[in-house]
Amino acid sequence: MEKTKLEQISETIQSISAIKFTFYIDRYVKTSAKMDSSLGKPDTKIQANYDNSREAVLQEASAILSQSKLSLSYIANLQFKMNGQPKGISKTDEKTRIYFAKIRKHQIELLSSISDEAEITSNIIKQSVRMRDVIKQNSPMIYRASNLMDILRERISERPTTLLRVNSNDEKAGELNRIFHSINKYEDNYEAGLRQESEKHPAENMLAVYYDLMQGLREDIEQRKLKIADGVKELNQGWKLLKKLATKGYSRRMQRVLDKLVDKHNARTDRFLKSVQECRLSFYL
Amino acid sequence: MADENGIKNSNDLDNKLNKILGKQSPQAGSASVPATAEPAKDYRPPVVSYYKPSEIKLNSFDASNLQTVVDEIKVIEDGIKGIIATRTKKTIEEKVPVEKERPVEYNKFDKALVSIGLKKQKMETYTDYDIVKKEVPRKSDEVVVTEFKTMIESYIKSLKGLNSGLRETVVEVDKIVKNLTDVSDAFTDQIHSDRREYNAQIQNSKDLETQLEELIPIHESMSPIHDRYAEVEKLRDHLEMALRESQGMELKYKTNIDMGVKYQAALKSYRKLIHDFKERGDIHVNMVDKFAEGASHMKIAVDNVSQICSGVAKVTQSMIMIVESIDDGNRVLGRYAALIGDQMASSPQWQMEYSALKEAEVVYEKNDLLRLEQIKGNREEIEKIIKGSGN
Repeated sequence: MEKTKLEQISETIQSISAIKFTFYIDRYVKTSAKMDSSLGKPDTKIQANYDNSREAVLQEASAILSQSKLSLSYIANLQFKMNGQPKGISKTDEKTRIYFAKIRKHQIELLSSISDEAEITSNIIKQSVRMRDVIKQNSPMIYRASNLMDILRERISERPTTLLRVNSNDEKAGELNRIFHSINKYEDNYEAGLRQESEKHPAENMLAVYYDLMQGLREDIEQRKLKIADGVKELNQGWKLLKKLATKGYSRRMQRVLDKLVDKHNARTDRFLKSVQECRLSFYL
Repeated sequence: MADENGIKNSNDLDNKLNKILGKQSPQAGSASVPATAEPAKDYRPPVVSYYKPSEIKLNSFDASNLQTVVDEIKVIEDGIKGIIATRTKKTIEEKVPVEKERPVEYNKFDKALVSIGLKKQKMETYTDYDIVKKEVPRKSDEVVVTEFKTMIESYIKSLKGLNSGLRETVVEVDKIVKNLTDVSDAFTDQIHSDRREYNAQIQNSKDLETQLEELIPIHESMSPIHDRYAEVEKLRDHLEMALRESQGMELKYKTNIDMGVKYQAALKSYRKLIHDFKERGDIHVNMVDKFAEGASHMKIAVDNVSQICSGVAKVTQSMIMIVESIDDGNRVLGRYAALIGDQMASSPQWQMEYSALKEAEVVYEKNDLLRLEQIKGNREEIEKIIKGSGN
């Protein structure tokens, strides 16, 4: 085994760190939550915090993505070469080869899954920016409009013009009376409708829909963050083993960890295949 | 016989005299006049015929109705003042005791010590008075009724402001609806293209799957010593990795599509809400225009009412003054007449009464002059009002 190649791969794999990523994701979740709750009153500080944390997350995610893709390409090209022909089939050698292949697959799968999660997280965040911008631009106006509607609704519900009439034969008084009459008719027609509508709190409901959506996305991002963090830990574990297998070969002490990793790998691949099938089904429905 | 005749003649004469006297003064006649009317020691002039006591009775016409009108106007004014008082506040300046510090005044010796530095300058607290502006509620007597007009004017202004704000809002909301439609359309386009890509990706994965299905049995059945074993193994590896990548892409597309659909749904409900706002807003803008129109008419009506109220008040005041003047005049005339009737011409009481009455007459004339002036002033004001409302 070329030591330099192994060292190279070690370096790249160890450069994949989930620590910063976790920190940035947590910060993003906080700032985006604050951003959403203050949409009605634009605040430059909150906006700046949100922008910063978003940039940081996206940067870190792309770093993880590129590093894991690089590692993947290295490991893909990593072939197991025994010292000599692949015919010395001692039990240990056989085990080394088998487990090498398995752990290699394990690493490949993990790297793929980490890079996928990082990319999806990036996409989620990028997509939410557009929606957040739309709501942010429009909600102050919506609040103002809804305030004005409330004022009008209150005024109408007091019904001040019901008995208003000026008793005079003057032309101006007649005009005034006509105006009062038409205002009264308008109030009769629209008062009930307005009251019902505003009792439904349309502005708050709409924003509630948006908040729920954003909250769901934030929870999703947190899940993915945890997956990435666990994945990176497991990746490092697996790589240590792989290196040992490649350089020193199989030893019985590794057995337990090997079994654990192989089980995890199998569970992971099963889950993955299942979710692919589910997606395909729901798409065609 | 001559004596008898003389007595009889004087009796006849007396009777005749009596008759004549009786015609001239029925009172005198009806009073128990002794058969021999002896002229009184003190002469009293005959009661003048034009003196009919019923004429100069204190004929007070009932000013209580007029007073009711004035009272009513006062009630309305008080009501209006009360309303204005509750809705406005006045700022008063108040002296508030504040504790401040100042250096203690020392005598010359101590001051020298302080300047050298041997003695420390102490501070003492004293109470000073600061002038603080405070807003307090007003009492209705502090209000002037013309403030009512200003209140109506500011009501009209705020209505106009409300209306222009509403109008602007409606225009902006219209823009928002258009913008949201664009954004929603962009999301739709994205979703459609993602769906196409997803479909293509699934096809790709399925191709790879079929290839693998063919290859795997070959690989499993091949012995490691076969010269093409390494090639086959590499190929399988390659295919498996390609499949994994393709399936990974599927998931990414699916996630994108799901998110896009959720966003689109949220946008649609948002757009509907805003569209409803706009419709209601349009209706409201029209109505608030009418409100503002009505309010400016109300202002004119209020102007008229307040002018009429002040006009009526002035008329009533003039009439009351006229009535009072008549009352006073009646009293003076009555006293004079009573004096004359009482025939106290040469008693000292007569003199006193007479001079008192003369003074009363002077006072009456003075008051009358004042009243005339005031009545004239009221008349001019009313003429102004009439001219004003006629324009």
